[in-house]
Amino acid sequence: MDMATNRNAAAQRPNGAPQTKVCQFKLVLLGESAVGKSSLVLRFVKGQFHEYQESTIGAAFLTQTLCLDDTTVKFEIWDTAGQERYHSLAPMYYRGAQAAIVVYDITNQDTFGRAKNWVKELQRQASPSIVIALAGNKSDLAAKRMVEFEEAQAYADENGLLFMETSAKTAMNVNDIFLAIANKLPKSESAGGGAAGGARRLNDADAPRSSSCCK
Amino acid sequence: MAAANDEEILEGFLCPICKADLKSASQLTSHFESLHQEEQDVLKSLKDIFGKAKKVILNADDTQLKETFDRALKFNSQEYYPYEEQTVGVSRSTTDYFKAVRSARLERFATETNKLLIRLDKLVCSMPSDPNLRKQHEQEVVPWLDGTSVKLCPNCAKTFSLTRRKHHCRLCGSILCHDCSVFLDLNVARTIVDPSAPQTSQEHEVNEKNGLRLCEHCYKLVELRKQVQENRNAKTVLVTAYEQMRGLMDQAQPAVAMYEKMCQSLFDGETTYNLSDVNAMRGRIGKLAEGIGLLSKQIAALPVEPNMRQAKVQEHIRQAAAHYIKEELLSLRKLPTEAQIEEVRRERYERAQKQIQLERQRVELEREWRSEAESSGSRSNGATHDDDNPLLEQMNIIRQYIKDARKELRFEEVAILEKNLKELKKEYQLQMLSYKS
Repeated sequence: MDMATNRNAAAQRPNGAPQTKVCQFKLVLLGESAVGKSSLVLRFVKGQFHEYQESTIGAAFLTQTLCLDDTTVKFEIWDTAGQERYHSLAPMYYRGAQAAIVVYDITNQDTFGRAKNWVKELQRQASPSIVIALAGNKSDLAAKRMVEFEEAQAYADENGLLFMETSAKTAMNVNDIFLAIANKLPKSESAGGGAAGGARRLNDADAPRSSSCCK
Repeated sequence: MAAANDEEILEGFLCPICKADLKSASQLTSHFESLHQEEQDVLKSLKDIFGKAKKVILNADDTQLKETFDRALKFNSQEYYPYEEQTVGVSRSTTDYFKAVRSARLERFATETNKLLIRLDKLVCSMPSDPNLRKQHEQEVVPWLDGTSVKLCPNCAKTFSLTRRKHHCRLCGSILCHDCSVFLDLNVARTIVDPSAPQTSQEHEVNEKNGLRLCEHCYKLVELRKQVQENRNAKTVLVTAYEQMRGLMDQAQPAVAMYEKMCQSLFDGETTYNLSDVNAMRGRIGKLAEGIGLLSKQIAALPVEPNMRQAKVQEHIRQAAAHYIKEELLSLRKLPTEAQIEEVRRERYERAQKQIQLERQRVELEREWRSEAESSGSRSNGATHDDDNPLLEQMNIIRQYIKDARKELRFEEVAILEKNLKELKKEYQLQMLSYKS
């Protein structure tokens, strides 16, 4: 809380008590290439959309701040490259992440299969308290739909994921999905101190589980 | 509700901890493992026995392939992605096959184009101007297809009729309608068969009279050959830029020599040039140097594949130009200050004055001596009006010339004129002296 107070000095009340608390979260985007991860982030962070978004190399890092009722949530967003050859880098980025958005393309059944694999990998190797959201992107192309909404919703319910169909092009549900994640994330006092504090807490709980799956 | 963030988007092989861009996946992995592994471990658990065990297992994974394989089997429901870089498997070069296919294709095109060009040459060389003779000549060179059985235009499939007449391509002899035919300007045709012929680039409507009726196919082939010819003869950007640069250098050479001369004259205290002249010259050389530098930079920045000889040439040109500018154009002698010039000039003037003084005394003595000899000397004091002295007039004209030459920075002329003027002055002074005496 001390750090949060320093960061948010402007929002302090005259008596010194902070009006809102600031929580910082690491969020990672995963999914097959060309499903629209970067477009989703760009829409969320800058409100822009590029018809020909270039393919991400390695990973991209962006930040965005959301204001909830009583807290300010700062997202540190790691937008990973979807191409297969960069797959091995992904664990580095989702390690210690408090939230993940797994993106698939509703016009492509294969990307949904890959998204399921990503969810599985996250459940197995990321921190157990990670909030995972499933995003069916390109909902503006509903005419070419290959993945049914019900099918994805059922899968999400089964695995306890947040689920929305989004469109970076029309901005549909883009802010909503990030907002939903922000609402679901635990905003305890330790999380407010920044990524390090949050990460430690999460990693303490993480240790026994992650070792048990790598025997 | 979402506050916009002005920070730039980072992208690349970013380290998730320190956000440094490591340029490649393997470097990032090794950086992360060597620098942040421990940090991660500490964060994971302060006393993490499992963590150590895991590290051992992971290390073992890297070295023992069998272990990796077993692990992959355990993951059977899920695709397994190896964490190490994969080696390239068996590969086969298909370049030769590709070349064979391509050369056969090129061969076919080349022979066809050559055939057309030979025909074009015959057609163009001795083309009679009379329409009937011309038609006969064309049919002699290229046998025209018999059109009696052709009912439709082979290109657009429209029926031939009284209004849509049958025509022949003058190069392949095939039948086509007017709408499907293209006309090749006879002048252009001449330059194609004989590139050394003078190019005529007048824009005018090409019709049956001054052009050859061709089918689209032949036209494309001939046009392609023309483009190849033009490309071969065209100067590249590099050459044009280089020639421009050499031109500037050629201009700079005499300019520098002139500058040196002017500078020397200033130091010698001559009044041929003044400081502003020399400064203007210096400015001109500076401009030339700037132009050369700019062009050489352009040359060096021309896009080129790395490790090619062209890249080396461009780099050398740039270096040579930089060297030239530094050695020849920027190492100019420093100009004397106004005060220095004043000093030199005054010394010179004083010396001259002394000289004149001595001369006068001598003349005075002579005159005294002469007047003593002749008690009364008849002075032949000619009526000399300064205004209509031709020498003075001449001097004024020359002064005007100098002014003009100076304005246009023609300093060689200035030097010659100044010399002229000086001679005139001397002459005038002598004349005056002789009048006085």
